[in-house]
Amino acid sequence: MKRAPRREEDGTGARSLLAALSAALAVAAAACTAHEPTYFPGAAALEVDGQGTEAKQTLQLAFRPPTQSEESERQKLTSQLGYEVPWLREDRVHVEMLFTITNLGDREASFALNIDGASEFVRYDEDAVAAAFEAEDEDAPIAHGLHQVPPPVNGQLLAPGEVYRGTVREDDFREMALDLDAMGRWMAPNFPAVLLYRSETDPADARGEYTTTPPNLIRPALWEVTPRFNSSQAMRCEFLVRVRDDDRRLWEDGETQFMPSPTTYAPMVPPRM
Amino acid sequence: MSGGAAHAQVTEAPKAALFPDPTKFAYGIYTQGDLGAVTVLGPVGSHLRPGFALGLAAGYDITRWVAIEARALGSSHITEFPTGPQDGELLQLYHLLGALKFSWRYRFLIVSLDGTAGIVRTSTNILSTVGLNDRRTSLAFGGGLGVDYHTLSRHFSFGIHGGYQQVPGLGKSGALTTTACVRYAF
Repeated sequence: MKRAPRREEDGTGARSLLAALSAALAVAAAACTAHEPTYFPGAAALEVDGQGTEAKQTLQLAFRPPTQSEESERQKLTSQLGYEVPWLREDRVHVEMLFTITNLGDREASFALNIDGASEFVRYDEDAVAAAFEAEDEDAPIAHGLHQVPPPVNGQLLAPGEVYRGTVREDDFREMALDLDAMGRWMAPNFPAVLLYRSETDPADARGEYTTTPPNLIRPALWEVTPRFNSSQAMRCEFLVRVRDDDRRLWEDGETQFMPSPTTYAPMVPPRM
Repeated sequence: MSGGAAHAQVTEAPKAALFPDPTKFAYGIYTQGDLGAVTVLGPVGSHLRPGFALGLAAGYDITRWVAIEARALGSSHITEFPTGPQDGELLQLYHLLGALKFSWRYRFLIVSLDGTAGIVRTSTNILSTVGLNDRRTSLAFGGGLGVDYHTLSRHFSFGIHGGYQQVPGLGKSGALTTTACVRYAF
C-alpha cells in the first residue's frame, strides 16, 4: 500500500498544530464551564387560595464549607480588616430568582411577592420584625420583605389563567445583601430607609443610610432565600434560584454542606414618645 | 553492428487516467472544523430549541478507507417551559466523542460512515430541576454519515455530515447533529 508522499517536516507541523488545537479546546472548555450557573428549584410551588393566607418557602443554597487553607486565609483577612470576612462574598456569588405566577382563579387580580433572606451572619424575617414592634405595642414602619417584587407593568392585573413571568435580578440580590448587612451587622439606625433606598440609583442619599458601614466592606452574599407570596385570588408561584459562583464554592455530590447559623435581625424599636 | 529497425505497435488504447486521482490526495493526520446545528429529539427535545453547533475533530487515516477520530462539539440551546421559570434559559451541550470512520473515495467524492461513542455534558443542571436528567454527564453512542468534496488541493475537502447520538442520561433523548465541515489532511 502506498501513501501519498509528504515532506518530512509535515509530521512535526502536524504535531504542533494538534497540540495547539488541543490546548485551544481545553481553554475553550474551561472558559465555558467557569461561569455556568447552578439552579436551585423550590421544593414545591407556592400556592394561595385567595383567602388571605400567605405562602412562603425557605430555600437554602448549597455551598461547601471552606477548606483548611481557605479558612486560614479568611481568618487572616478578618484580623487584617478588623471585622468578620464572610466565606460567601456578595461580589463573588451572584444570585437571581426566576419566577412564574399563574392566576388559577376566575377573576383578574394582582399579587404580592416579597423576598426575605439570610446571609451567613444575619437573617431577615418580616414576621420577626413585625413581632418586635408588636411586642412594644407599635406598628411596624414598613411591612415588606428585604425586596418587594414590583407588580406587572402599569399595575396590570392578571387575567384568569394568565401566566406572569419575572426575574429578581442579580443587582436586586446585591442590594438585598447590602441592606441586610447594613441593618444586621452594622446596625444602620433607620432600617426602613435602608430597605426603601436603592443604593446605586441614589447613592448620595443611600450613603446617609450606610454611615455605620466600613468603606470597601466585603459583604456576605445571601445564602438563604425565602419568597413570600399572596393574592386575593387563587394563584400559583413557581420559582427557581440561579446562582453563579466565581470561586467554585457551590456544593457538589459527596461534600459536606456549609450550614451557618445566622442571627435573626431584630430592629431597635424606638421608645414611645 | 547493424540490426533491423524496431517497431512498436499500439495494440489497445491506453486507459483514461482517473482525474483527480484520490491516491494523490494527502491522508494520515487530519483536522476538521464543523459548523451546523444540533436538534435534540425525544422527551427533552420538546424543551430545548435546536441550537447552533461548533465542532473540532482530529483524526488519523489508518488506511485510505478507515480512520479513527476524536471529536468535540458544542451546541447552544434555549430552554422551553411555557409555564415554568425554567423557560428561556441558555443551555449548552458538549459532546466529546471517539469515532471509527469508514470512507469510500472516488475522484472528488468521499462518502463516509462512522460509529461513535463518548459523553455528552450539559452546561447547567436546569433540566434536572424539572426531573429530565439527574446527572449532567451522560454516555452517548451513535453514528453518522457524511459526504465530502475534495478540492484539487491535496489537503482540503469540504462536506456535509449528519449524525445521531443516543444519550440515555439526557432524559433518554437523542441528539441529531447536522454540520457543514472543512477538513485539512496533513
